[in-house]
Amino acid sequence: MHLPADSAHKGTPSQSTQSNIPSGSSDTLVLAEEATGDRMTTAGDRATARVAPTIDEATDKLPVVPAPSGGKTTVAGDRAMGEDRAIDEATDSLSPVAASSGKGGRASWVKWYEALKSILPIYIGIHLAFFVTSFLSVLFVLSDFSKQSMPIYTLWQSWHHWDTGNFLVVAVHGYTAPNQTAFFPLYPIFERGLMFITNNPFTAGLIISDVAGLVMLVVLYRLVEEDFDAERAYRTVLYLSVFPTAFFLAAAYNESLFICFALFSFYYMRHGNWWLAGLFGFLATLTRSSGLFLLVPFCYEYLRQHHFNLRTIRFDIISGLAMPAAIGAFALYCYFQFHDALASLHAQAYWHPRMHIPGEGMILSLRLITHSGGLLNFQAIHNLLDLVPDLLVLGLIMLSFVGPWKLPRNLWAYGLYAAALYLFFQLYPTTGIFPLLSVARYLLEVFPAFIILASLGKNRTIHMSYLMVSGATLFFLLAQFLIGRWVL
Amino acid sequence: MDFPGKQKSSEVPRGGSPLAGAWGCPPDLPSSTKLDITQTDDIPASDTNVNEETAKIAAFRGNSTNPSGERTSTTETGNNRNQRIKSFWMPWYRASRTILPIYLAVHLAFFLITCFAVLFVLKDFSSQTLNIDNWLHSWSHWDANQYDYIALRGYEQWWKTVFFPLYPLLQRCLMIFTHDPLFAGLIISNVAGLGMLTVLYRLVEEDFDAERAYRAVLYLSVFPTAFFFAAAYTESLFLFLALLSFYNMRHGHWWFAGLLGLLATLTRQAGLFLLVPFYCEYLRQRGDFKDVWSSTGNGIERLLRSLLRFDFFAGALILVGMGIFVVYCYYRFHILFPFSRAEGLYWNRDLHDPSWGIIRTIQVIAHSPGFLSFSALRNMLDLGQDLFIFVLIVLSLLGPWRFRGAVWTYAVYGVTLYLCLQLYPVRDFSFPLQSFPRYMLEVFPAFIVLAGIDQHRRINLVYLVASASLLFLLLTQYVTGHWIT
Repeated sequence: MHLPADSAHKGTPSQSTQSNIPSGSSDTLVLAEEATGDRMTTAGDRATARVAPTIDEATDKLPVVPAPSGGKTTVAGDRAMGEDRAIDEATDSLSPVAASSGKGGRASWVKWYEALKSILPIYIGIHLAFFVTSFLSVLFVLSDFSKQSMPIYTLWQSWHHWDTGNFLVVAVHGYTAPNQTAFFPLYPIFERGLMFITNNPFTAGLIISDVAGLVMLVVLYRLVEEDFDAERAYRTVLYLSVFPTAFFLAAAYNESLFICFALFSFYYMRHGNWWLAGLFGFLATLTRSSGLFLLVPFCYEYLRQHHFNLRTIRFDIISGLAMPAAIGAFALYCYFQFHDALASLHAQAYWHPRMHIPGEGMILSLRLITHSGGLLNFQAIHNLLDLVPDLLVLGLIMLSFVGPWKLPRNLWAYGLYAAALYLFFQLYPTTGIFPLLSVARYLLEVFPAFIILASLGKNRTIHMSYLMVSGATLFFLLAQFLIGRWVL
Repeated sequence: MDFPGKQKSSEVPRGGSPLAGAWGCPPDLPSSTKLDITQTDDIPASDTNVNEETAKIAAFRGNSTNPSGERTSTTETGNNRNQRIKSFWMPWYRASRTILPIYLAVHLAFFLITCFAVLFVLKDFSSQTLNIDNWLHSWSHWDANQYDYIALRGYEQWWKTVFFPLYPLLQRCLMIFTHDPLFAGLIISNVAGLGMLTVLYRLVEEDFDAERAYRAVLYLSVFPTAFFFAAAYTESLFLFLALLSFYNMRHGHWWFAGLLGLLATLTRQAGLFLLVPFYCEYLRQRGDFKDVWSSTGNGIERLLRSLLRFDFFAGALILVGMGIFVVYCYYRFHILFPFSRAEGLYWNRDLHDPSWGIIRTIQVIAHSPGFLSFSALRNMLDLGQDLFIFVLIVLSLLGPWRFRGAVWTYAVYGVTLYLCLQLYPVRDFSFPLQSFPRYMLEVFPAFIVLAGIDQHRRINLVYLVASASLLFLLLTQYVTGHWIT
C-alpha cells in the first residue's frame, strides 16, 4: 500500500507547496498560503473524522471550512475516505500555479506511476491471454489433423468483426448515410487521425482501444484508491478486466475510449475540478451517447461539495452543460449533413424501436429461455449470457445503496451514476429473440458496480468464483468472437 | 548436488524427533513454535484450537519430547482419545475448507464451459436443442472411453493393459450404484480431485507455509490441462494417491507410504517413481551420517545399521504394485510386460534421450505448413507447457527458489519424474510430445516452486490469466470432441 509512503512524502506541507510556486506575483503566494492553511485544517478534521463512528455522521457534524479567496469550501468528512484527497485537492486548487510550474506535479505524477505499476500485471496478463487465444482460436476453424495453414495476419484480422466494420467505414468515408450516425463520432475521428501513421484504420482502431484501455485502468485504480483503498482498487481493476465482455475493451470498439473519458471526468468531479470534468464529459459524450449520464454524478457531486447550499453555487457549474453540448454538437452536424438533427436517435431506433419499462427486457429474456425447449440451445444460452451479467450488475447496484457494502453518503455519486446508466440500458431492449442484445457489453461502462464487487471480493469464495466463472466466459466468448460467430 | 538436509538430520539426537528438520525449520527451534506460525497465518476463524492442534501433530509424529507428549502419556481416557481423533481430522477439515473455494470455482467454470460449448456445435441462430445427455457425454472422449470399456468388459486385448487397472476397477465397483461407467468415472475423478488438492495443501502447508500452499493448489488447478482432473481420466486419482504417499513419507509412516505407493502404481505406471523419493526420504530421516567419511569404517557400518530396519522394505510395496499387475497380465495374455510392448507398438513410444522429444517438436514446428496450422499450434502447446515445467524443475535445483534443507526430496522427485517422462516421447514425425502437458500435472513439485517464486503479484497474475485462458480453451476443444490427449 502506498499510503504511508505518500504521507511521508508530504511530511512538510507548507514547504512543498511553497516550492511549487514560481517567483510570480505576491497574489499567487497569498493563494498558496491559503491553500496550505486550508489543508492543515482538513488534516485536523480528518483526524476527527476518523474518530467519528460513521462517515455520514462525520459529514453532518464537521464544520464547513470556507476558503476566503479561492471560493472553495471543503467538507472534512469527504477526506476521511481517501487520505491523499485533501492534499490532492489543495494542489488542485492551485492548479493554475502548480501546472504551470511543472515541478509541483511531481507528487501526483509519482502516484500515477505507482498506479500504472500496480495495474500493469493485470493488463499484460489479460493481453497475453488474448494473444494466446487469438492463436488458438485457429484450432476451432481448422479441422483436426488438417494440413492447411492460416496466414499470419489472421491473428489480428480475426478481431475484425461486427461493429468494428461500422466504425471503420465512418473513419474512412465519413458519415454517408443517416443510419451510420448511431455510431458516435469521436472514436472514428481518432481512427482517422491515427490513420496518417498506420495507413490502416483497423490497426489504428486497435491501437486506440488498447491504449485507452490501459489509461482507463490506471484512472480507475487511482479513483478507487483515493476514495476507498488500494486493495479494493486492485480488485476493481481485475474484476473489470475479466468481465465476460471485457475483450471488447481490446477490440476496435469504442467502449474503452468511452470508459477512459468517463473515468477522467469522474475523477475530476471528485476533485472538484469542474472544468476538466466538463471537458472529459464532453469527450465521453462524443464517444458514446451514454456519456450524457455523467450529468447525474456531476450535479450530485457539485451540490454535495457545495454542501447542498444553492447560494454557494458558482459560475463553474456551467461546465456541466458540456455533456448536453456534445449531443448538441453532433445533432448540429447531423442537421447539416442529413437535414435531420435527430438522425442519431432515428438510427438507434432501428435496433431499439421503442421504450419499455425497465425490467421488461429481462422478463422477455427469461420467457425466451423457458420457452426455448431446453438449456442446450442457441437461443437459451445467448439469452442466459445476456441475462446473468445483467442481473449481477443489478444486484451490485442495489448493494451500493442498501446492505453491509453500501456506499457512504459522500460517495453516492458512484451509485447514482451506475443506477442512471443501468436504467438507460434497460429502457431500450431490442426486439426479436435477444431482448438484452449487447447489454452485457454496455455493462462494462457501469464501473461503480465493479467497485462494489471488489468489496464483496474480500471473501475468497466470491473472489475465486467470480474470477473463474467470469474468466471462463470471457475466454469462451472471445474464442467465439474471433472465429466470427455471433457474439453480442 | 549438495544435501543440506543431511547435516541437519545428523544434528538431531537419535532419541529425539526423527523429523525435527522435516518442517523446513532449523532443528533447534521447538517445533511447536513453527507450527504456531504456520497455522495462525491465514486461516479464517476457528483458531481457538491451535494449541490442541499443536499437541495433536506432536502426538501424530510420535514425538515424545514435546510438552504435549506428557499429556498423552498420563491421561489415556476415552475423552482424550476422542479429542485426539478430532484433532487428527481438524487440520484436514480446515485444509479442505481452505481449498474448497478454488475447487468449487473451477468446477463451476467447467460446468459453464460445458454448457456454452454447445454454441460451437450448433450453427448461429439454429433452433435445434441438444439433449441434456449431451452434457455428460461431451466429457467422454479419447482415453475416457478406454477406461469405460475396461470397466465394462475387463481387459479383452493385451494392448489395453497400458491402461492400468485400479481406476477401471473402482469404476466397476461404483457401477453397482450408477450403472454408467462414465458417470462412475467422473465421480471418482472429482472426489479424488478434491482429496488431491487437500493433501497438496496440507503437504505444502506443513513443509512451507499456508499462503504458499494455497497458491500451489491454485496454480495446479488452473494449469492448462487441469480439466483432466475433472474428466474420467486417472490423473486425479493417481496424484491423490501419490501425494498421500508422499505425505506419509514426510511423516515417516513408511508402511502407509508404501501401501499408497502400491495403489498409485496400480493406477499409473508413473507411480513406480515414488520409489526414488521414498528411499531419499528414508535415507534423510533414518540415515546416521555421523563420521561416515572418516577412515575408520565405523561410520559406514553405523549408517547401514541405522538404515537396515524392517521399515526399509516398505518401499518394496511400490514394486509389489507393479508385480501384481505383471503377474495378472502374464496369466491373462502370457506376455511379460505387455503394457510396455503396447506403448511401443501402438503408441509409438520409444526410449530416447530426454531432449529428443523437445528437439523433435521444434523441428516439427519448423517444418509445419505455417505457424497457424494445426500441427504447429498443437506442437507449440505441447512444447510450451513442457518447457514451462522444465524451467520450474530447473529452478527447484538452482537459484533462489530451490528446495533447500530438509525438503530436497521434492526436488529429487520432480527431477526423476520429469526426466523419466521425457524418456518416452512419441516416435512418429507429427506430435512427439503428445499427451505430455497432461503428464506434467503429475510433476507437482514444479507447482510448489511456482508458488514460491512470486512474492509479488506480477508473475502470479500473468500465469493465472494466461494459463486459465488456455485451460478454458482446451476444455472447450475437449468437450467439442477435438483431439486433445
